[in-house]
Amino acid sequence: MGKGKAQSKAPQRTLGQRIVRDKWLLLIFLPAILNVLIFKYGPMFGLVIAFKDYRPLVGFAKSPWVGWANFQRMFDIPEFGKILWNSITLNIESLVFTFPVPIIFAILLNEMRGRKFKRVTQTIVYLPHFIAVVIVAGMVKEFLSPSSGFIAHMIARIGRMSTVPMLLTNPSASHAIIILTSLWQNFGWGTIIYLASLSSVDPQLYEAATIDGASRFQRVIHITLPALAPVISIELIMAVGGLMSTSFDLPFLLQNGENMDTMEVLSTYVYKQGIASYAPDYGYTTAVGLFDSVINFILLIFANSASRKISETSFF
Amino acid sequence: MVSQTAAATAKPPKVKKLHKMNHISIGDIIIWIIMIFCIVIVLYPILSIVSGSFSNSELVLRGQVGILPKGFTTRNYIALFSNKKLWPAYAYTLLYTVVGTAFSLFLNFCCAYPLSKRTFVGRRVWNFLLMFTMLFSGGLIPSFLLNTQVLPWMDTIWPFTLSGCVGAWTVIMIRTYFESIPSSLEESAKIDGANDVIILFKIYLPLSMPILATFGLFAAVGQWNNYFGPMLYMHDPSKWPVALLLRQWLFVDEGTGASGVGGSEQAYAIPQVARNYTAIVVTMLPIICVYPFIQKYFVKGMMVGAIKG
Repeated sequence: MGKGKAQSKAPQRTLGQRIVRDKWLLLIFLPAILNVLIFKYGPMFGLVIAFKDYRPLVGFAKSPWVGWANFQRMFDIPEFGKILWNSITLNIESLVFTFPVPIIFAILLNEMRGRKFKRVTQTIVYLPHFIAVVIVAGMVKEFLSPSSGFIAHMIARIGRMSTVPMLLTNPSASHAIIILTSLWQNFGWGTIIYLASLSSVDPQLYEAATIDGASRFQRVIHITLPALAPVISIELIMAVGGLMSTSFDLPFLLQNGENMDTMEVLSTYVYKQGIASYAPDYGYTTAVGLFDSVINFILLIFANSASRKISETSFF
Repeated sequence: MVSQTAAATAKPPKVKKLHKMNHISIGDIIIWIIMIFCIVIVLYPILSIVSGSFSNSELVLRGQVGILPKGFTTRNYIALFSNKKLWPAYAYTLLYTVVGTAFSLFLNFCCAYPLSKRTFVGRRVWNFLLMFTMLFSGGLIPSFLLNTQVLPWMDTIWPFTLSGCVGAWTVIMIRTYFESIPSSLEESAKIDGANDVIILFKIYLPLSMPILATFGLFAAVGQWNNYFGPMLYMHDPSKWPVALLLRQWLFVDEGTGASGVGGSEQAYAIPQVARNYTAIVVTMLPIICVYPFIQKYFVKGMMVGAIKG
C-alpha cells in the first residue's frame, strides 16, 4: 500500500502545465473528490461545534463559543462513565472472543479434505454475513423469547432451570448475546482474508515437511501459522484501532428498558441524545463523538507503530 | 462454482494425496465433524424461522416447532402479502438499491482512474486525503447536520445514497486493478487522438467489468440491508425500505399484541410472533436466493483486497 511516491520520469513541468495536461483526468476526478471533500471533510470541519453551544436557529457561525464546556459536561454526567465503560468492555470482550475464531476456522478449512464438502461448507458459513443486521437481531429476539424461542428453551434444559430464562432483559447476558450474534454472522466470512494468504503458500513446503516426517499439527505450527502472521497482525491493528468505535447496530436493536445498564454504548448514546431526542443537544453529542474519534485515531497510530516494530508489517 | 478460494486452498490437500493416497486419518474425521457442527449452527436458526413461518402460530408460541413445520399453514403468508405497507417498501428498497449502487460504482470508478496514473497532478495529496478518511471521521452528528441543515436533504434519498459513497478501500482496490491493465492500450488510443474520458469509458470500462460486478454487488447488498440511513433521513413511513419496516415491526411495535399486519385494516389478523417469523423470511429470501450465484464475486473481491493488503 505505501508506495505513493510519484516517479518523476516525466520532464519537469510547472503546476499550471500539469493541470492543463491532465485536464481530462481532472474532469473525471472532480465529482468523486468533491464527494469526498463535502461528505467526509465537511463533517470534520463541522466538528468545531463541539466547542460551541450550537443552536440550529442561530446558525453555525453565530452560535457562541463555549470552550471545553461540552467536554466538561461529558464527565459531569454520571451516566456517561457507565456508557464509556460499557463500550470499552464490550469491545475488549468482542476482540478477545471473536478475533481468534476465523483464524482457527481458516486453518481447519485449509486442512480439510474433500473438495466438494469444503466448497459447500464455505458457501454455507459465508451466508450469514449477507443477512441484514435487522433480520439477525430480529431472529435473536425471537429465539431468546421465553415463550417461543428455541435457544431460551435449550438453555433452560441444559441448565436444568425450572423456568425459561428471560435473557434479553437480563443486563448481565447482553454482552454475551451481542458477541455470540456477531460471531454467528461473521466467523465464516472472516476466514476469507486468511484463506487468501494461505493460498499463496508454496505447496512444496507441506510436501517437504511431510517427507521429513512432520505431523499435521507440526505442519500447522511451522508452516501455516507463520504464513498467516502478517495478515493476523494487520487484522489485529485494525481491530485495536477500532476498539473505541463501538458497533451501533446490535446494541441499538437489542436494547430495551431492562438491559440498558449494559447495552447503552457511546454510539447509541450519541444517536439518542443527538438525533432521536426531542431536544437534541448537537454541541454535546458532537463532543462525545469527537472524543471517541480522537481516541480511536490514537489507538490506530499506536497499534500501527507497535506492529511495525514487532513484525515489520504496517498498515500505512 | 469453482471459486478462487476453493481453487487456491485446495492445493495442499492435493499434494498430500500424492503421498498418502486415500488414507483418511482421525484428524480428517474430527475436522469433518467440526465442519458439520458449524453448518448446523449456521443453518438451524434460518431453517427454524422458515419452519415457524409455515406453522400454526399457537404451536410456535409454545415453543413446540423445531426444524419442521407443525400444523402446516400458509395463512401467515397470505396475511403478510395482503399488507399494504410491504409492497411499496419493496419498491422503495429496489429504488434505493439501484440509485445507491449506481452512484457508488460511478464515483468510485471515476476516483480510482486518475489515481492509477503515476503522473496525475496532485496524486500524493489526493491519496493522502483519501487515506486519511480511513483513520478519522467527523462522526454521526456533523454528518447529520450537513445533510439536513446545510443541505436541505431531509426526507430525500441523497443522504444515504450519494453522501459519502466514495470509500477509500474500494478506490484503492479499483486503482490496483487499473494499474494491472497494460498501458500500451492507452498509449495507442492516445496516438489515435483519444482523450482520457474516451479512454476510460471505451477501453477501461469494458476491461474492468469483473471488478465492477464485485463492487456493485457489495454496494447493492449493503444498500438492500441498510436501515440506518433511511431511519435518520426518511421520516415519511410510506417511503421506508423493507429493512426499516422490519425494524419497526420487530422492535418498535413490540407489545401491541396482534398488530401491524392484522388489526382493523386487514381481513386476516395473525399474532405478532407469526408476523415476525414470516416477515423475517420474506425479507431474507431475496438475498438467500441470489446468494449462491453471486457468492463467488464477493469472495473474489475479498481476495483482491487481501492480496493487496
